[in-house]
Amino acid sequence: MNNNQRRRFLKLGAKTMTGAGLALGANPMLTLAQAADTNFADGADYRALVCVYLEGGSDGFSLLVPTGNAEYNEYAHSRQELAVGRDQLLNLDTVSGNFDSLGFSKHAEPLYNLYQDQRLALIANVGNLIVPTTRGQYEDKSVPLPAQLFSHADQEIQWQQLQGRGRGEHGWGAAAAEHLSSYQERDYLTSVTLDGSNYWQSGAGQRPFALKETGLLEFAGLDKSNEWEQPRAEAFRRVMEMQQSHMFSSAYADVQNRALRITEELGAVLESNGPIITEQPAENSLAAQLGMVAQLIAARGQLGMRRQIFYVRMKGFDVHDHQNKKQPWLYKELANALTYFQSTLDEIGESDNVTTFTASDFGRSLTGNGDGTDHGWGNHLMVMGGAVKGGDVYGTMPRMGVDGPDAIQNGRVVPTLASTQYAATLLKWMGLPDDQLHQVLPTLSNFQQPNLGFLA
Amino acid sequence: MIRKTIILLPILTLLLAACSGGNGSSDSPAATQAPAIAPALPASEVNNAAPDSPMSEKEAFRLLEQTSFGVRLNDIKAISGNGPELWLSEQMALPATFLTDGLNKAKNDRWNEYINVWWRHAVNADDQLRQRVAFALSQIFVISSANGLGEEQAGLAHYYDTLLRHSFGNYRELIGEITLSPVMGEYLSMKGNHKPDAELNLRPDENYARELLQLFSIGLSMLNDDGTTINDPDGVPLPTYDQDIVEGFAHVFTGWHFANAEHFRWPKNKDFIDPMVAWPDMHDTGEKTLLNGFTIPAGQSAEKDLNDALDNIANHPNVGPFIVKQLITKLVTSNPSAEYVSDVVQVFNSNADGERGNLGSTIKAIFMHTEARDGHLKNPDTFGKTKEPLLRITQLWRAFEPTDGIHPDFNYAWVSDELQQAPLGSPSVFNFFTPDFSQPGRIRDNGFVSPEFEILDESSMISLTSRLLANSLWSHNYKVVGDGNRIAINIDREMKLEDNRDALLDHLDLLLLGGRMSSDLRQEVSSLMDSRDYNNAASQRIAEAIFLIMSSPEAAIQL
Repeated sequence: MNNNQRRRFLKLGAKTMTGAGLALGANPMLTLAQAADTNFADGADYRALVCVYLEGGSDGFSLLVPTGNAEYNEYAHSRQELAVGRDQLLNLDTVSGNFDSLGFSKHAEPLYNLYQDQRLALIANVGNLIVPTTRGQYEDKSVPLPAQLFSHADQEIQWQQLQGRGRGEHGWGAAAAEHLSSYQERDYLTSVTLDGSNYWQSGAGQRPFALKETGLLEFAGLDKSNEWEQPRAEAFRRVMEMQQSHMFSSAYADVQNRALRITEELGAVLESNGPIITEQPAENSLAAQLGMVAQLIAARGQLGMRRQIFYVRMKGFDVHDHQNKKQPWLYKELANALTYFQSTLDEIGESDNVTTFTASDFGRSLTGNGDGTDHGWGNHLMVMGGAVKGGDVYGTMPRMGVDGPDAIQNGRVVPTLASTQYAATLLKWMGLPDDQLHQVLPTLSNFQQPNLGFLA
Repeated sequence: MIRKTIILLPILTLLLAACSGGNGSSDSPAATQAPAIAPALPASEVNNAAPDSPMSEKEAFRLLEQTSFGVRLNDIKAISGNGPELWLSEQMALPATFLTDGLNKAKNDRWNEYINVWWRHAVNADDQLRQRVAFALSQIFVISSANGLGEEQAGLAHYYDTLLRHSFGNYRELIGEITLSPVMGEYLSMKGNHKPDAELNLRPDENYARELLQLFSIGLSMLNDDGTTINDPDGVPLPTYDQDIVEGFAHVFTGWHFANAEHFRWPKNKDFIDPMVAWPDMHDTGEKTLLNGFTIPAGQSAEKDLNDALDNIANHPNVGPFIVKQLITKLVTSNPSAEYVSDVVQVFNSNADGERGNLGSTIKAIFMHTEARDGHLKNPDTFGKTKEPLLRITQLWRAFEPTDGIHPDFNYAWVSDELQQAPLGSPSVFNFFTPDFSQPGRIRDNGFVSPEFEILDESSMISLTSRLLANSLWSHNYKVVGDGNRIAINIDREMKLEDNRDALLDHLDLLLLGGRMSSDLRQEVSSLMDSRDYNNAASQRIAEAIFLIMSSPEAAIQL
């Protein structure tokens, strides 16, 4: 009922690109963009990172499960009725042969196929760490620990910033973007978010450009080329250009001016591109966000982009209750969205140039509360793309006993790999030189292995 | 210092009595309960109070902008010439306009109709100060229709009414009611939380325990009374608690469920109105270690454990600075001085009656403090706050209030799709934006925060601007009549001034910007009006002027 009204209002609103079948034709903006970007002809190198943020702390321990008898029993004993049953697990072989008995959740089966195809890798037991940390060191408090462990907001911000124990000034995405933006014409498109502001892409002078999953919005009633609207549209633009002494008014005008400029410039470029054919899963917000990312990547030649970072987000992973009901759906939705995105990248021929990775506040506790799990620490994550050395699991599987050598505080798992190592591997692939890598990730030198090797 | 410890049981009894016979249906009797009475204490109880001297029209505008959902000309005329305290006292004495009553009266039974009722009340209710404070509280004590509670409109409205009732009440009573609210019980999964079972590796659910500490009371970091953090030698703030303490509180909050639950595990009956009730067998009766080394002895009842734990929290020294600073940033300024926070915290900690946590005294202190009244003169480029998107919309509707009211079919319940904000519609318990969000650029470089900018990105800005345009240019009473899709703003008053450009612009300047309009903006507005120079275009000229002013960066802030 509301949808119709909403759509009616947003005819000012969304230009939905997918399947819109917009006519190609002589477009002055496009010609201009192409002329300016002769350096970026087809074949010029392009690389993009896509961060799929799983909000609330995803339960990696329901995705990747040890299936050896002793290990599975330990897991099942800890997880009790929240343990994923053996009949729900697909057998996982590894290219390296480092693991013999692992299972992958059936609910994420489409991703299993990508894994078998060696375009998806699993990274075991990653989490925020300042230095390598053991259970004993945690309990003795003999090493520096991330501040406010187990708190959503803090662990999310630390994950997205990786600037040490507490809150820093900028995200690692923003710091990297500062180096990467010199590659291209349109700096403001180096960082793009499909979920509004975030810490990963903010700071160091950077702020992501925000697009909606429904597409690029248009200002209502402010079209300069419309004779009736023109006087208003021009007055509105002049008001936005006025010097503002108040810092909030000034920042407000900055965002408006970016919005004005981008709807005009990006809108023209995107409209000139043909639709993506791969069918988008319905009722899947993450897929819709990723579909927009694919549209932008498809236009990277016209836009003169060579390095980009994208941020998308999926909600609902904080399963304190109804975990057995919610978790399968979460993985289904995630798997459908990710495989759809990989197919669109295949369609536009960008598979090798785009690496998609998951991140989350933390993993979840091994012990349950009767109906769900609580905030943990280490987590299993995924990396996907043509450049990924897939079909393998990187790192080590933790022991799953509640009182085992890897667990603290009633079944929260101490990570064996640091988020900063994971980030470094991704940024290295993006082409960040070592000195810049260490500037962007100040705690990286605390770890022996700065490159986890999952990217070619 | 005298601390009044409020005991929860009498409140519970009162609530249960008031709700007896209630079965969670939409006609909740609790909504007719009298709200907490505002204290008759003088504002001078706050240090550095502003003199209660007669306000100019511009000063009246500022007070109204801070204490309502939008400034009306009649209110400016009515309160200018008086001191600010009279308005505050009068507002606090007004009866509360409850969401439940509005929902019961609503003609429609639509998805998220409570949001339409909220619009109605924000625009029309007389008790503006209470409505504005409750809206601020709803962004601290967050529950949301966005995560599974969307069908429970009566429960959501009842929760909002709890905030309205306690807006000028006592903090300890407020968290007592919130803790046992079935809507909160569902949202942060405290309902059905049961005692540990070592054999099954089951621990109590930590969700409510953690967020109560982190978001509703003391925050993560040790605070001075002026709101600044106490740091370790690395410059990292000292934590207020550790995981063991979270687990202690998680054990306290075991053994509660919906008032009419027939089983403890996954009951069919779900009463989203009445307070949750204790199931003694499901409550952990072991010893629990809480904040500051306080220990709850073994063997206590669920009720006694809960009361002791909430007292333990409410008496933590962080509560004052943590809650006061958030209220100031949601009502007055994003970057209050340490002195401002500290002066108001003293009132929170102990008002003139020696009561701790009196929100009425605290609210009065927030608005009567010199910094609230004069901060913009001292720091004209940094004082104040960015207006929340919802307030940009209500401001327009209140400034040009439709004479015939709002059509009963009016529907703008999907506002969060456009503006990333809706009453009780936060995407998570962390609210629409966090108190310490700082926009990269000049704001962040100078160490300031700008919380509202977290939801002001290119997309939401385009939607907000388009909505302001649609609501002014396309929806005034010389063009349309109000109906289910729109509120027609009333511009009769402006039409009378239309032949006198200076008088009209002076009027709009006062009404929309409190007399702060820059000469450049005034010039642009006037030129745009000139461009609509054909016959019978007076209403068009006025609507163009209103849009250009309302969408300007000058109108985006509350100074």
